[in-house]
Amino acid sequence: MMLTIRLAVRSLLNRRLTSALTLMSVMLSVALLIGVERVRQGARESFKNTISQTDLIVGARGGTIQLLLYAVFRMGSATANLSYETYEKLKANPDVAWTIPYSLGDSHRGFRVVGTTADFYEHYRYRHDKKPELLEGGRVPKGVFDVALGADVAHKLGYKLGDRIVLAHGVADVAIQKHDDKPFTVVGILDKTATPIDRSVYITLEGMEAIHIDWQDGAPPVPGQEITPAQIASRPIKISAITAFLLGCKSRIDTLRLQRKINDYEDEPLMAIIPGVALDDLWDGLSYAEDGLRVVSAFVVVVGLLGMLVSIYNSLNERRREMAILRSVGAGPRLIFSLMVTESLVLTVCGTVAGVALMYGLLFTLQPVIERHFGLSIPIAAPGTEEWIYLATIFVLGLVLGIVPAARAYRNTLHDGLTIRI
Amino acid sequence: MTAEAAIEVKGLRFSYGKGPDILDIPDLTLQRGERAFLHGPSGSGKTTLLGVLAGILPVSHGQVKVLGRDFSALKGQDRDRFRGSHIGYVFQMFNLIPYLNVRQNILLPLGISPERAARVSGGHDEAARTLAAHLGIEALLERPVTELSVGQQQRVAAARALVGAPELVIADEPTSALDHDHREAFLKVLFAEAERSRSTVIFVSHDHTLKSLFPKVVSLREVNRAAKPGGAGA
Repeated sequence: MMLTIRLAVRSLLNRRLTSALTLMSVMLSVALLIGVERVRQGARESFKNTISQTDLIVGARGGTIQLLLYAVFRMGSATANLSYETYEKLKANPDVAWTIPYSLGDSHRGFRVVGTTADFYEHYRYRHDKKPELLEGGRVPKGVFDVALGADVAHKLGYKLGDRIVLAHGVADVAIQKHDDKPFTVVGILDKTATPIDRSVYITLEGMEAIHIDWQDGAPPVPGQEITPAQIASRPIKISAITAFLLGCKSRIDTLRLQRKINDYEDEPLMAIIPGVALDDLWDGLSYAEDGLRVVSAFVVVVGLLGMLVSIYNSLNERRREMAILRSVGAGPRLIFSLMVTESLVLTVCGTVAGVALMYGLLFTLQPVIERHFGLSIPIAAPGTEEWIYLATIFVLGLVLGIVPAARAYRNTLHDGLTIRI
Repeated sequence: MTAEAAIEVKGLRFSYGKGPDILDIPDLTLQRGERAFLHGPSGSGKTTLLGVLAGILPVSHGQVKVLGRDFSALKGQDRDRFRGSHIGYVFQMFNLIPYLNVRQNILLPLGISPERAARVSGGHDEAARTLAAHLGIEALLERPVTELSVGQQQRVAAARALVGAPELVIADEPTSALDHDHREAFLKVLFAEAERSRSTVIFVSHDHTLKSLFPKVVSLREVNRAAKPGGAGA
């Protein structure tokens, strides 16, 4: 056995260039396959970790995906609001530990405006236990015309603390109606989270109410009837409705009971979803893209291994005399066969190990960059079960494909015997 | 075992598939320790006979005993093992595995046959060195074989055929690629080493100038009734 491996390795080293190229194609294809698997897992994890520790998302009754999209991803919009009264009632439920109310519907230069409370900065969690942090010098919006910016908003629009900005009505990229009579002051900028948080603008619930205070039936105030910011500041603002709220239970066990209670709420048609479940559903709906990636990278591995088969097969003719020599010193056709299979296996194993090493090397160097730019946190962990199965499959495939040139060599050597063919 | 002949062929007939007989040898015997010169023109069945004697080709009709072992009773696998353990083989040219150096080429049979390795007293490297010294190629031991001249290559091949002292050495036209002076020199060292390990030598050639160096001469055309009559040479 040792002899077989020694001979196979020396033979491969003798054909250095071909072996190196073959090894490289196996290495790159394996690195691609495992890399795709890692990115897939990372993407799924990052996606699921957009929101953490929230037990329920509550909104007006509608589609679960729709609620998830507007409450978590700031995409699409709600068809109905829920009354502030209902919100306060549910918030007072003894099972509820905390809530984060969201009031949505306005935008600023393409970025969504979120009316919320200090609870957002206190209780919101993403990637397990991270919370949105304000950058140095900023503070949580408290006043009616205070605004905090997500990292992308501040970066893309070049805003800094103290700037005054105007919010627009509606969520269209190009706003037709602007709340330009009531400008906001930037009091805080959030640190980068690599989640949709970065792409929103945060004001208070009162602020959201205030910019619409003089609107009637969804239309801007009639000229002459505007209420000025000074007037707003002088009187208390009554909040009538919010769009959705996030909710944390005191105990996880209460979640299902509470969900049922909210779904059966009599005074208003409500809906509560468990974010983890809804995120899984949404991701699974997109999984054909994942499968596509996997199929492509699996084919790349097959092509890499076929390249190996071709390169070994091509070497057979010029190696017939080598086979005759081996036979003359006592090697049987079986030894020749196993020698050829061993060559394939050495290439497969070395290529696979090199591919995995390459993938880890790239991961170590690129992981922070990928996380910063794409918000994709790819775990650097030992290969998981699925990856071991992949690697084992590659090994078996290398073995099976290695049998093709080996069988040819076997037949050659039976035919040639001790005849030296050149 | 010593009483047995090195080669004992009786009533051997051989053909490839259903083709005509290539070999039809009623009787051919070589004693142990004998140095035999086997000659015959092309078409006289030389290559085929060597294939049979080396255990590559199966014996279907008649009896072939090599060193007392009846080949017709052995499976291919066992004949391979027997060859590895008891027979050294030298080709006409291109004897060496290109990716092994001189020492590794010489020691190759020991890696394949444990029985032959067991016959080497002392270390393998030492065995390679001793043989190389006797054959005048000691300085080349660690060199890649691609750097050797043809004469040097044949000496390495001889060393490989002799390592582990096999009882039988078959040399198939080993000198035909050498010039006259080198031929005689090669034969001298081959004989000296065969003597040392008391190996029987079967030397195949169509070069009659070498005939006189052998105590026993076998003409395949006379021995093999299936040989094509009237071939060139004699």
